[in-house]
Amino acid sequence: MPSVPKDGAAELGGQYIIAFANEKGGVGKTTSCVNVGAALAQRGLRVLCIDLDPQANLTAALGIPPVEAEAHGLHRFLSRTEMPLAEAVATTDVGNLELLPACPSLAEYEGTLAREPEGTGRLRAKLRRRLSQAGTGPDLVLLDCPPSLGVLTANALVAATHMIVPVTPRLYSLKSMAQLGTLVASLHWEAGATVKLLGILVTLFDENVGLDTTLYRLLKEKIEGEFGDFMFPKPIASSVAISEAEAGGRPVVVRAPKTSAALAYVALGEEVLARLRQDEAGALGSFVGTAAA
Amino acid sequence: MRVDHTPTSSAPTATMEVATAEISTPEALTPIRRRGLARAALQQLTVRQLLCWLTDQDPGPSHIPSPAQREAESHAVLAIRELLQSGWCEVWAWQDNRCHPISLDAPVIQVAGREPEIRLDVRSLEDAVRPTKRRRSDLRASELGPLHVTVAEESAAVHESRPQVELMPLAQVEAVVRDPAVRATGGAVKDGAESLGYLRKTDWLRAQFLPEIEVLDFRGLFVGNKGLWILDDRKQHTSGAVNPKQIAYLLLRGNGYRRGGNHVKALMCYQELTELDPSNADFRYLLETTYQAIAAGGSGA
Repeated sequence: MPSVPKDGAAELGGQYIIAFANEKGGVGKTTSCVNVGAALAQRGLRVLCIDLDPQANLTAALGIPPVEAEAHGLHRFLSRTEMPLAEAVATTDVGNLELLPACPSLAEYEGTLAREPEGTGRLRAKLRRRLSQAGTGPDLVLLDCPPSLGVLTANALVAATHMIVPVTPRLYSLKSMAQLGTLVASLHWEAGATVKLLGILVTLFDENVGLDTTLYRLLKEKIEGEFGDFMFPKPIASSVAISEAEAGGRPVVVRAPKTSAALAYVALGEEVLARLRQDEAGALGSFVGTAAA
Repeated sequence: MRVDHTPTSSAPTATMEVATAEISTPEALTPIRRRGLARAALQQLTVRQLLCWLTDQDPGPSHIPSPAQREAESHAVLAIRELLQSGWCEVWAWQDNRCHPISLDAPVIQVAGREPEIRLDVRSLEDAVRPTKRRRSDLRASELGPLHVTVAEESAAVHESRPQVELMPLAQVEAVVRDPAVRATGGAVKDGAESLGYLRKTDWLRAQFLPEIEVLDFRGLFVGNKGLWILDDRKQHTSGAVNPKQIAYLLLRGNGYRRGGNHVKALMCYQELTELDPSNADFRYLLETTYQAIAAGGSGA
């Protein structure tokens, strides 16, 4: 993996696993994951992205060809008992950024995983073991969830320490976010998930559309009124540059770093780091209580 | 705009009669009536006549209106003059595909060949709106396009006994006339919109989506941050939730009644909304403003 000098200010107190999850498709989970990952990697953090979506959009967005994805692949990492993490990981063109790719075979493996008694905790068990073995493993692991609340999303939420929920300013997207909350609560009870919400990220936002601004304000008022400062301060505007970057197989923060979309994701990466540091100080709250006990 | 050189006194239209009957002094002009009169003036006046009125010159022997019509025209021209002074609209005279801006400072244009048409320019509204950050989506449809609601249509409900004269829609006249009081920012814009009797689109959207957002339960997302309580009282929360369809139905009915001037029925809808969701500030606000409208004498059934 190409190495970039590490920024001392970016160092974190521990290894964090952040899931990008929402049941609704097309809300920007993959785009946010790849660009936050690339932004933080450019900042000097060692980042591992894991593609849990059988559609393998994250894999394509980082320019990994399907043949290589099939050869490595998350399904192999999950199904094989002793496969080292380094063997499953593919390097990318972005310095400090690695990828555990997905391929269509993951969809078949999802069915197998669902039938296993400890299927929802498979990724957590694997990651914990491999990351502790690695010693010099990544600072951040970013999980790109599929657009469903199936066993792969459950694996991600059980394995994650934090989650970011991308939503579009649309009612269905917000309803899906509420559904995700129900799953998180269930996993907390049934599988001992301790994932904390790092923030809600509004994506595909158009400030010139009245519906977008209205729903954004309503959501912000509700979240901040009931739970606190859990909305990321700036929504990500819809941008052609992002789509062009996706087609080119590179994150927009790498392909077009001066575009407003890239700058927005760089700022988001900084905000993610700041919130992780706040969490180290206990600012995000902590509940690892009796639910799973 | 069709330009008519014949003396208007010989064939006064219903438009001007209605305007004359309803307006007594310029101070009594409401924003809606001012717009109506401005449109009426554009229908009735030629460019020459309008310019004469604006510059306090004698329109000449070809223009001999009746005293009543002259009074109506004077009010209309006053309205246009006021709008021009306030900067809320611009008047353009179009002639042979060329436009001539008409301003109070230099109102004279060369009128040769075909008589020009007069337009109030849409762009002037957009320019005026831009500093207030209001967008096209916030404006009423009638403010954006050609105004097809003629004075005759407005007055028909009030003066049913009068014979209706069919007026051609002002297809050629793109009139955007705003009340100067609305030209402000923040709360003043909202107050102006309310005084004109309509809600901005964002307010309407907010009223539509607020009940939907309110009933969404996001507490599960915060289990790791705040603790586990969602599973225990989810059932209770769901059973006590307000039906969003009922909220939307009542809100739409109430707003419809209010727009139609039936504040008593609107009040009943808003009372029911407030009882359904006592914590909703928007419903309380609607109830209060409707009470105020009734107290001010606007309780027409």
